Amino acid sequence: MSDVARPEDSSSPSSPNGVFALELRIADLLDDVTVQGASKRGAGEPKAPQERTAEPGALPGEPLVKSHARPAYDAVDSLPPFLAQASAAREAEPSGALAPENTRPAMAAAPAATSAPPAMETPEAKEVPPAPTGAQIVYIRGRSDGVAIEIGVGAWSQVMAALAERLESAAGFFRKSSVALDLGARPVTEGELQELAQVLAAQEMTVGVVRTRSERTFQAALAVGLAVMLEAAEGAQSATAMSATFNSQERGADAEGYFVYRGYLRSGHRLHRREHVLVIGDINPGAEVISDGDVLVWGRLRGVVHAGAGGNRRALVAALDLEPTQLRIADVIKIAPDPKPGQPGRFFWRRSQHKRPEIARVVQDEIMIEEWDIARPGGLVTLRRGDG
Amino acid sequence: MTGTVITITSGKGGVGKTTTTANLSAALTQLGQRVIAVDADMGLRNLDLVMGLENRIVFDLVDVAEGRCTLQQALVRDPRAEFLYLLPAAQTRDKRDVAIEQMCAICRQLVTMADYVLIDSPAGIEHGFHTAVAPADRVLIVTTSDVSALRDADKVIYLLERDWRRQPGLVINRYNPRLVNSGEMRGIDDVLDILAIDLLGVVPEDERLMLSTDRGTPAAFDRRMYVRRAYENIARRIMGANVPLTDYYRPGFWGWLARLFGR
Repeated sequence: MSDVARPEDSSSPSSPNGVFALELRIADLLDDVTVQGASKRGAGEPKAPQERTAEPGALPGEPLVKSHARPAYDAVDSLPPFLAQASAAREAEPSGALAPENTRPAMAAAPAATSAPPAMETPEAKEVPPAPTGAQIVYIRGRSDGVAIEIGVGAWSQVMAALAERLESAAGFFRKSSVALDLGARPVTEGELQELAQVLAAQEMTVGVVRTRSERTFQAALAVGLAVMLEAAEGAQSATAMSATFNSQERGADAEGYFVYRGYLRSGHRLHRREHVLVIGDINPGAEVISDGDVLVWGRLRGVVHAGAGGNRRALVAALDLEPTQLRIADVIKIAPDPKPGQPGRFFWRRSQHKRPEIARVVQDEIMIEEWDIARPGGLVTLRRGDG
Repeated sequence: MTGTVITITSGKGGVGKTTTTANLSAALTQLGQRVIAVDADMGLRNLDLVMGLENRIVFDLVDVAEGRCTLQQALVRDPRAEFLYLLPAAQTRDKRDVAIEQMCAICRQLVTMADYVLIDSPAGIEHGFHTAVAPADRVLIVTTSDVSALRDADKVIYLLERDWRRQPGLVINRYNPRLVNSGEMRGIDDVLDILAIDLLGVVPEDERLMLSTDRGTPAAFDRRMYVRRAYENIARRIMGANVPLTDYYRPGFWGWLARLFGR
C-alpha cells in the first residue's frame, strides 16, 4: 500500500491527516484490499464451457489452464522436452484455432477443469488455484512505477463497462498516469485494444506497456502501436527487446502474402515488410531486410536479415549464397564468424567460390544453416512440417 | 554542341576523388578535349592544390553563384594544357552557400564552353554531395578495395539509384596487384561482385602519385609516371573508346614494372 502514494496525485496532501484520508481513498480504489466488480463476473461465464467443447483437439499435455498468477512458461518448462517444444511451437502459431490463448484463465473454475482431457495431464494443470484472485473483470493494482490494470475474464463489452466504472469512481485519481496493462492469455483484437485505449484516454490515462501471453494480442498491440511484452513460453524478454528495436508500429499479424524485390539491396538500404520477402538479386553488406515471415534470396545474401521479426521462430531464411553479416530469426541471432588468418577481411566482402544454396532455421534456440539438398523429398514442405 | 558533366564522388573521404578528377581532366585535355574541372567541395577545397593552380585564384564558385563576377572571370586557366580550366570552390564559405539550382545553372553554362565538365564532389552524402551530383550527366564512383570504402561506395550507388536515377561508373583506385595475387586483398572481380556496376578503370597504387599531387602536377602531365597510362585509358573509355582492361594479374608484371621504374 505504501508504494501507491503517487506524486502525480493533485490532492496529495502533506499533513498526517491528509495522508490518512488519501490512504482511505487508495484503499477504495485498489483491489489489493477491495473486491469490486465481482458481481459482474457471471455474465461472461456461460460462454466458457461451449468454447471448451469446441476445442476437441486440445493436445495432451497442453497446459489448458493457466492461472493468472503463474507465468506461462512454468507449465512448458516442466513438460517433457518434445512436448515442451511442440507446445512452444503452437504458442508461436498465432492463427491456429487450437492455440492455447483461446483457453481463458478463469476457466480454472471447477466445472471447466473436469472437461480437460484426462490423459497426460501435467501436474501444473491440477494444482491450479481455484480462480484468479477476486475473480473479477478488472483488477487495478498500484505499483511504485504507476498503475497496473489486469483484465480478467468476461465479455469485452462488460470489461469495458467495468473498467470505465472503476475509473470513473476513482474520480480522476489515476489521471495522467501511465498504465501497465496485463491482458493475460485473452486474445484481444486491434479494435478492442483501441476501445480500451479510448476508455483510458477518457480519464487522461495512457497505456504504457501491454503484457500478454497471447500471440494474437501481441500482434494486435503491435499493429495498434503499443509497447507490448509477450510473456511467451521462452525468450520472452529478448522478443520484447527485438520488437522495441524494430519499429513496432509497422508490424501486424503473422506474415501473409509475399513481397518481391528485384535488384540489388545496397548498403544503407532497408527493406521492412510484414509479408514474406523474396529478393531476386543480391543483399549487400550493410543492407537490411526485415520480414515477419520468411526471407528468400535468389542471389547472394551478405547483409543483415531478420526473418520472423514478429516473433515467429518458424520463419526461414534461404539464399543461393548465404553469407550474411548477421542472421536473425525471431529472437535468435547468429553472427558471421571472424575471418580466418590470411584472408582479406570478412568473407562476406569477398566473392565466394561455387557456393550452394543454403537454408537457415531455428532448431532448439539456435540458428542452424544447412545446405539445400535438392533431392530432399518434399523440399521446403518437409522442412516446414518436420521442424520442432 | 554541348559537353558532358561528369561528377566524381565516393562517399568515403581520402580514396582519391580529387586526384582522380585532376588526372582525368589532364588526361582528357591531352586527348584533345576541352575540359573544365569544378571543385564542389566548398570550404575544403583541394582541387586547386592538386592541379597546382592555387595562386591564380581570384574568384570562386560562390562568387559566381551570388553574381559578384562572371563565370569567365572565375575560371582559372591551366597553363600546361591547351584547354583546361578550373572553377575553384570557396575556401571561406560553407557547402550550403551554393544551392542545387545555382550549381545546375552554372553547369548549364559550362557545358556550352567545354566538352567535359568534371565536378569534384565532397566526401559524405549530405547537401554537398547532392549539389555535386544534381547537374551530372554521368557519375563516377571512386573506391579503393578496402571494406570501408566499398561499403560507402555501395551506399552512394544506392543513393544515386534511389534519388537521382543514375547508373554510375566505377574507378578502382590504389589497386595493389601484388596483394591481390597473394590472395590477401580483394581483387577487381570481388569488388565488382559486390558493387555490380560498370568498371571504367583501375588505377594501380603508386607512391609517386602522392608526390605528384604534392608538387601540383597531375600525373597525367608527367610522362615518366606509369599510372598516367591508367588515367589515359579511363579518359579514352569516357570518350567512348573500347580500351581493354590492363591485366595486372600477369606474372612477371612487377618485374617489368620494376624495369620501367629502374628499381
